[in-house]
Amino acid sequence: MDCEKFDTVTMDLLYGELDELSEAAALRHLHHCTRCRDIWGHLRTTRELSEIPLEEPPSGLFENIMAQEAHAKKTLPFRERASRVISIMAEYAMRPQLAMAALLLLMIGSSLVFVRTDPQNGGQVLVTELGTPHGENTLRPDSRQEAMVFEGNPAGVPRGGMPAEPNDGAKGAGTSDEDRNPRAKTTGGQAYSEAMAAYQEGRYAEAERLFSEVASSGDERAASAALHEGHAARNGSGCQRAAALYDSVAARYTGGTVSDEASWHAASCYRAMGQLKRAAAHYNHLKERAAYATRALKALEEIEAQLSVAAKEPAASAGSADAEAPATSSNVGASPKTDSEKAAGESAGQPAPGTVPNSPAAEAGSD
Amino acid sequence: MTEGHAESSDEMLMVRYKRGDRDAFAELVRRYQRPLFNFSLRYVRNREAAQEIAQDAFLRVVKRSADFKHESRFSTWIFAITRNLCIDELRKAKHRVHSSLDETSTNGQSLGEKIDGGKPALDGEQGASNNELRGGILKAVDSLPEDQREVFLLRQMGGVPFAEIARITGTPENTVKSRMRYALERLQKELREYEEYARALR
Repeated sequence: MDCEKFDTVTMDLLYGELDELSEAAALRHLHHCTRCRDIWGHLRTTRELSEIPLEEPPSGLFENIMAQEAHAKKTLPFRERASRVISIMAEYAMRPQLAMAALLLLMIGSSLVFVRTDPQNGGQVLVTELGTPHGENTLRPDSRQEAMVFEGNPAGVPRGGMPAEPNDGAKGAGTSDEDRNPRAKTTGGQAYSEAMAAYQEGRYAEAERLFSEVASSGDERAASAALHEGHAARNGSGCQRAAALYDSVAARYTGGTVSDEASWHAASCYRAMGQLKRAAAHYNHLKERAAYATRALKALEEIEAQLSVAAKEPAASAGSADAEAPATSSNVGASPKTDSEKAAGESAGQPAPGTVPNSPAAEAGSD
Repeated sequence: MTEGHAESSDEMLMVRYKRGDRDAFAELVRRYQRPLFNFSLRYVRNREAAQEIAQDAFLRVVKRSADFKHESRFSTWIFAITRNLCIDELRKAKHRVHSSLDETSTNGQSLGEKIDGGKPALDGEQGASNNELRGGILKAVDSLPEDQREVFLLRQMGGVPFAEIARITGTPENTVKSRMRYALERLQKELREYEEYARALR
């Protein structure tokens, strides 16, 4: 620092307004500059000397000021009062605690939104893991969300070809989709509960009809209802009818857990009816699914053993009832059918009014 | 006065007052009534006017408390208010501007005598020298040109930094520092005879 620079910072140095580095530089300059040291000495002495002795204020000044303050607060104009209130509110609004609370509320609110928009099939995961329907308790009966996916799409797959329940045919087959949908929309949860109640009480025909209505209504439990429709048909009418329904459900909800479950039950039915190739096709599909792989592979081994035994029988001949493959994405290629399978199917399957329904896709892949 | 108020900064007291705490305002009055009165007294050189200015300054604080921003120092704010009131007073009563240090107050005492009022008297030669020194300081300060005296009083008595003085007076900071230096050099000449005495006192 030179003398010219020192002159510019003298006042700051005198009143302690210099930063540490500049102060150190100025003091170093003073150390070796006689001229500046002399000027600095006089200024510092004058500053100390001219400290003005403070006089005591007149008595009563404090009281006067406080009295004026009290009076002024009473007579403050509205604008001043309003600005004071706004100022106080702004101070509170700028507090970090308030900001944190707002953020917390936002987080809770957004998480509630996500919970409410849980995937449609979220409540049905438990069904898949257990392998069998676990009852309506797992299906969130309290949910009232409108599922728009199937809105206006009654079935997604042809259902008109399915044979009607013998005892309930007039009601079941005669009910059109137009008649079903309004009820399903308004009382979807109630209809499902009624259907489940009928199912549990063994009124399978009624349960099948009610489940069918829910399944075609577009309700969020349509998939579960369709699966239960198959169960009701199996328990009420037998595997031949149920297998067709299971095939239909498996095709309609391809890729979902309900599809896999339906595929498993379809396979069981076909196996019970002796239609081993069809059952094998389902099992081949299911062995790719982690939840079914072990059971499916075991079933496939058993079917293979059965087929090998049947092939050795002299009565074996060409022709088979196992002409269709399930309408799933992983069909097994059609193989030669045997009369033994057909015979086995007729003996194992329960009698049903009408032939086994074949989906168009399945028929296209048959011999 | 509560213990918490005594330890609080001026700015915190002002915040509390804005929330309706009158005790905070009372603490601010206690802290600033003396320096504000003396600043006004040295600025307008009239006791009654100085007292009124000090009262008016606090009254403006009350009325404009919503305008106080936490970023600025309370001391700078209230000294700026007081300085403006002093200028107004000088405009209104120009005939008082050139009043001398020896202007007598209501009870007939000089300002120099007032300064020692209430304090224990110094004995002998030292007491006489102290009185003489105080009188000399006040006389020298009062004789400063107005622009220099303003800067001197704000910095020396109000403790307002140069940058804040520049903002209050609307003057460049370097000009403020120059005025301060001229004021000190002028005081140095006026008080030269007391310099040796002051050194001896240190």
